[in-house]
Amino acid sequence: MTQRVFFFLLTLFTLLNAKEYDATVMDIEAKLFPKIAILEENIANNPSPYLSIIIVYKEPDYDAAQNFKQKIESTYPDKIRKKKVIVGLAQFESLEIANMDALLVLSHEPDELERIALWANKNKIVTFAYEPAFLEYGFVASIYIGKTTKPYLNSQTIKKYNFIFDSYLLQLSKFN
Amino acid sequence: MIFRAFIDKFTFFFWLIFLVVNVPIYVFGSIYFQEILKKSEQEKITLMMTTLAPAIAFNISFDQENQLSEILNGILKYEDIQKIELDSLAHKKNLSKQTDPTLELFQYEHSIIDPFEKIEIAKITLYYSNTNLKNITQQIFITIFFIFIFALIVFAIIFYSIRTDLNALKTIANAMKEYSVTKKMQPILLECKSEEINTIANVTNQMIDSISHYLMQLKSFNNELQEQIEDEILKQQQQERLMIHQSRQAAMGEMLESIAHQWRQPLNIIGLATANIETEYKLGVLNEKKFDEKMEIVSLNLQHMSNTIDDFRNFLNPERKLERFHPYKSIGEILNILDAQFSNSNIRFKLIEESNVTFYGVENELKQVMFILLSNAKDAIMLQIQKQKISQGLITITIKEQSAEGIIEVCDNGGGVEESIVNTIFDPYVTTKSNANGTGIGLYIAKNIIESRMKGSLRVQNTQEGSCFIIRISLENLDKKENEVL
Repeated sequence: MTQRVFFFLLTLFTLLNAKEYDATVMDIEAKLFPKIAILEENIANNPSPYLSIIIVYKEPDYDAAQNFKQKIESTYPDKIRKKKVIVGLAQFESLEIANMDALLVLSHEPDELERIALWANKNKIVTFAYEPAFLEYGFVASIYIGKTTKPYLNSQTIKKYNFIFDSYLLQLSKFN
Repeated sequence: MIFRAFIDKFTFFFWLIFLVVNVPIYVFGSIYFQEILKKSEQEKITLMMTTLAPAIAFNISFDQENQLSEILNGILKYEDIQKIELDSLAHKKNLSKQTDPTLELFQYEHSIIDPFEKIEIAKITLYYSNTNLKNITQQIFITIFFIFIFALIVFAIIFYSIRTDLNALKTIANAMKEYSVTKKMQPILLECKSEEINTIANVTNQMIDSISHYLMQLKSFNNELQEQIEDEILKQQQQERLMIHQSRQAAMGEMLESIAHQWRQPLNIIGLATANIETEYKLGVLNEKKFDEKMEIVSLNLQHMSNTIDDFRNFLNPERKLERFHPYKSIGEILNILDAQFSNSNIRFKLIEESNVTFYGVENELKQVMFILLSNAKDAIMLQIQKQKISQGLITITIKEQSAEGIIEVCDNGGGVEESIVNTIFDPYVTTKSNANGTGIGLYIAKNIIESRMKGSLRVQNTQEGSCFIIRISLENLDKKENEVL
């Protein structure tokens, strides 16, 4: 009984902590993030036949992360610029640098977001934030949704960590 | 006046050059220039689309509707592009300007390639006109036209400024064109300030004055010369008349001698006949028959003497009747006159008629010529007989026809003409006769009559025994000559 109550409370607590993710936004981001990633020079020049994207989530957002993964994989069932898109799920604590091209970061605590961004930037990993507001923690890109929807790039991070994107992407993007 | 400068004939050539230059430029421009510009325009649009296609592709790929519209509107701002059609799965756009519907539009299609998948994701079609090209071409022609108009104005101003000088030159040219030595000409008066042109006009006036002056002098000289010639001709005619008179006088002297010779024999016969009549009458043997025989002899000889007188009278008849005559008959009459003298001088003559020739002219004049030639021949032969170089004289007169000419040759055996005077024998006062018989004008008169009155020629050539005088008279147009008044 006590166990049942514990799991109920845990589930309730988890559900209460879980963030709501908009399906439309997820669709857009699932479509655009791989394209933005492939337009970064290091990734584009990487001879690997894979574009490896890791979705970083916290436990309550597991379903959302899974959903995201499915959306990306369904959007890009084939190759994009000769690279096969591989999407993986991971929590920050278990992240390893090997075979990783880009991170898609879902909701975290601010200090966690800062650490994730710092770690990724130092390792020259392109980061995408689900929330445009997360760019202030140092993530590279997000999606701006206003009157129009367009890539949202963090100019300071790009400049500081020397990320090089295709000029056409830069032309159509918004910068924070 | 300035307007006239635009329509003057000098300006006409300018317009002609304008058309000759501008029309080929226009035609060339219409055919080739526009084609080149059109090609250039196509290249420009191709370049533009090649440049913008990746941006369009990115915007399509990233669903950037607004930016895509901005780019397409930017393209549409280009003057010649009238309409844009974009056809993709996610975007269908149709942008156009409000343009003249009659405007000819050209189509240009460009594929939009996805930057990620490298496949065609859209097709953009541009419709463009050549308005810009037409404007450029028009501007070029307008520029050329205005350049020519400017040049024309400059030309007209220059022409206007030098028109006075040109008119002055034209006046001088016209005056010189109309100038004639036979026409009196007014001096050239100019209202021109150009020193050089005034100098030309002044020199021209002076030249015309000089020519007029020299012309008057020439006329005066001509008149004087004419008078001198007329005087000389008059003198010459007087001289000739005098010479002819002298010649006739000489001829008459010789005639008297001939008459004396001619009459001597018949007078002797008549004398003998009358003496016989008288003797026989005294002897009483004169009967009627004998009387009639003697009277017949007297009558015949008187008739012969009368004929002789008639011959002389005919020869000396001053009448100058133009007629056709046979030279054979005329020469025969002259030989009749000279017959007695020739016999007395032991001279034989032959008159040979190889052709029956007819001359037209004054018969007596030919007789006079023949008389002179035969008398000269007789004198020459007598001189040779006296010198005992020959014992008997022979004169051969031949009448013949050769190359439409009647020819009379008078050849003798009188020793010929000395070579020293053979070229001057026909000059007046040239004679070979040492005694006072020769006047030296006989042959001159003879040549004069043959050449100037009978339109023939008389020349001499020496033979082995003597000389031959040859008369040649043309027999052509004898009828025409008959109508001429000598």
